[in-house]
Amino acid sequence: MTPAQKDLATAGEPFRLILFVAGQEPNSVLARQNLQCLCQEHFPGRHTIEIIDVFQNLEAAFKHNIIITPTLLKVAPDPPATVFGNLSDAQKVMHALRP
Amino acid sequence: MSENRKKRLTGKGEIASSQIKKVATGIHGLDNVLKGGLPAGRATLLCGGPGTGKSVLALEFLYRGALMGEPGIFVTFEERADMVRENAATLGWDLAALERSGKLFIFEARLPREAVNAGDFNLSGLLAMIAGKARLMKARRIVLDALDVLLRIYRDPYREQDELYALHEWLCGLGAASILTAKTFEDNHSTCHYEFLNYMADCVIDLKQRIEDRISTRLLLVIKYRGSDFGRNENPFIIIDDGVKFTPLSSTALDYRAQPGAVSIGHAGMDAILGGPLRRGSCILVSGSPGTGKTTIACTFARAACARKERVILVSFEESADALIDCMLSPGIDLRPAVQSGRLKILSFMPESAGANVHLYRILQAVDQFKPHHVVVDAISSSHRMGSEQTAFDFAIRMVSLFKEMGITALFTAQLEGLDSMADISGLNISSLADTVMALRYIDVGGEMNRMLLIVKARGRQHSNQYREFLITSQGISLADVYVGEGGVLTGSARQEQEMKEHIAASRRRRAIKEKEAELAARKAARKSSDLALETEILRNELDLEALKDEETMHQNGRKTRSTLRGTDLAMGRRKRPSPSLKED
Repeated sequence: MTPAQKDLATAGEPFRLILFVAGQEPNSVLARQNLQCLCQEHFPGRHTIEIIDVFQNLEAAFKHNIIITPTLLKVAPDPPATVFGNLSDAQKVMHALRP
Repeated sequence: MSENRKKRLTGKGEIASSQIKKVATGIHGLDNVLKGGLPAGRATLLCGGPGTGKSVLALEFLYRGALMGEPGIFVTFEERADMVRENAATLGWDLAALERSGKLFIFEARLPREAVNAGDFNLSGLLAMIAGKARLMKARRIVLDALDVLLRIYRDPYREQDELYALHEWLCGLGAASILTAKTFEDNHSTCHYEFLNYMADCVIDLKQRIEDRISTRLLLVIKYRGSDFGRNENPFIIIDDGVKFTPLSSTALDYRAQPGAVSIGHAGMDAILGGPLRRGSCILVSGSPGTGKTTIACTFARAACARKERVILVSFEESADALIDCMLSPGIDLRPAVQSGRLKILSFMPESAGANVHLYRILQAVDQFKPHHVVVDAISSSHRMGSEQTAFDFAIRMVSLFKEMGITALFTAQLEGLDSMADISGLNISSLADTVMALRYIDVGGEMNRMLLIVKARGRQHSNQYREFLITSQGISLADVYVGEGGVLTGSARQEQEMKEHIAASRRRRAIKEKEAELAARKAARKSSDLALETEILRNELDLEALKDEETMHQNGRKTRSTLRGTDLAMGRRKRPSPSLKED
């Protein structure tokens, strides 16, 4: 276990994440895969990921003012964070998610 | 020749009929500029620097549409939705009510400031959201406000172009009339990579703000409009009352036209020296130094027109309506009945209070509502105080030409600087536009300042070319006969004195003739008793008499000739001169 992993693993609250995607559009597909890998690696068993397809659920997208797909929202733990893009830059994603 | 012309006409007709379908914006005067409105089902690019009115114009496009029953979507990439609503409220637009009734949707599409970019992305989600909402609402109008802010997240000019191209294609596919707004900066070229937008969009409109002499003017310029004819001029506009207003450069939008005919200036003597009543719809300029009686002439005209049951708008840049009515009571011009009957509308403005375009809008708005036969502006020279020389000139020109087109008789007064300047009669160089120019001035004779009136120009008519003494009495205007004597033009007491001198001289000449006749008669009676030598003396006396009579005839002829030269029709418009009573000694 790397120090970073240890750091996250010891934090108590589970991660609640929402990923907004645009159907099967390549960046959205990639983001889904990237997010799953990152979560399993860094906080296994301590996360919930909700995936919302803006094509299917416009209201939810409007509610969260989504203008770019894909967009990842960290709902918990505080502070909330917004990351957009296909999440291929793991370092940046983890930096944004770290409490 | 005639066949050629016919061909051209048909050709023109075909072009007109093949013009693209348009959507009326509903914005005051803009559809006139755009010859019908924005292209239906296509995207229009609205660019301009910060604060040029892009968002207001785009939002009003939606607001007017929503009021006409066309639902619209406003996507804001920069401003918060509540700010959009608040700003709209200052113009009296209740956006929330339209949102509740499903006629408007404000979509705040702002990326959180702390959002992190971690990889490639695109706008398909956003477009799906807009398209979905548009379907639900049956939106006919869409605005994407501050597109430059959205595009900035790419940080890659080439990518921006690709995405924009896709965005534009997609917008056109939606079938709604849309406006994309983007900031441009005239001085720096940081946004030059948006230039391709100009090629892409079917209609490109540029907004500008020009500041001259601390007065700002907003301008709209149509850069291109595929499939449509459009004016190439800069169109001034203002944001006032309940939105964006374009003051028309031409009055084609105003369908009001006055009846043709003649109009009295309101004073028989002045009509006479003008060569008859004025032409309806013509432009009269009354210029003069301060206090020469310009306003008095203007009010005489207005009161007379109202008495003929015609409507008049009097725009005063000099004093309030009440003050003007009060001042005019002293020369016996009572404007109160005209105001009470609703025929005279007095508008009073401080020239400095607003730019020329705002004043022009206010005046035209009143003209549109009141539909006057005549408009009086006192004084047009005040437009100097609305901004630069050029602004003042444009203001005057536009008023003159608009009223002409509308068939409204316009009487403008213009104040000259100084007491005796005739170099620039209008003070604005607009005298060439006026059909009639009347100049008032002071003349200093024998320690008196007297008012003089001259008809400088009366297009298409034979007018007097002579100075008149212009008197303002307690019963209004009075024109005194000009003195046509050896001393030239005289006024006031100098005129009276000269008339008296003339009279004395005339009676002296008559007396001299009588004396000679009497002397001759006595000599003739004595002839019988006198010798032949006396006959020679009689002959000489007869010759003397003839010489005196010739002199008197020559004097009378000379007087007539001078009158003709100065354009005085002795039978016309002359007051009978009171002849001073003299005792003969």
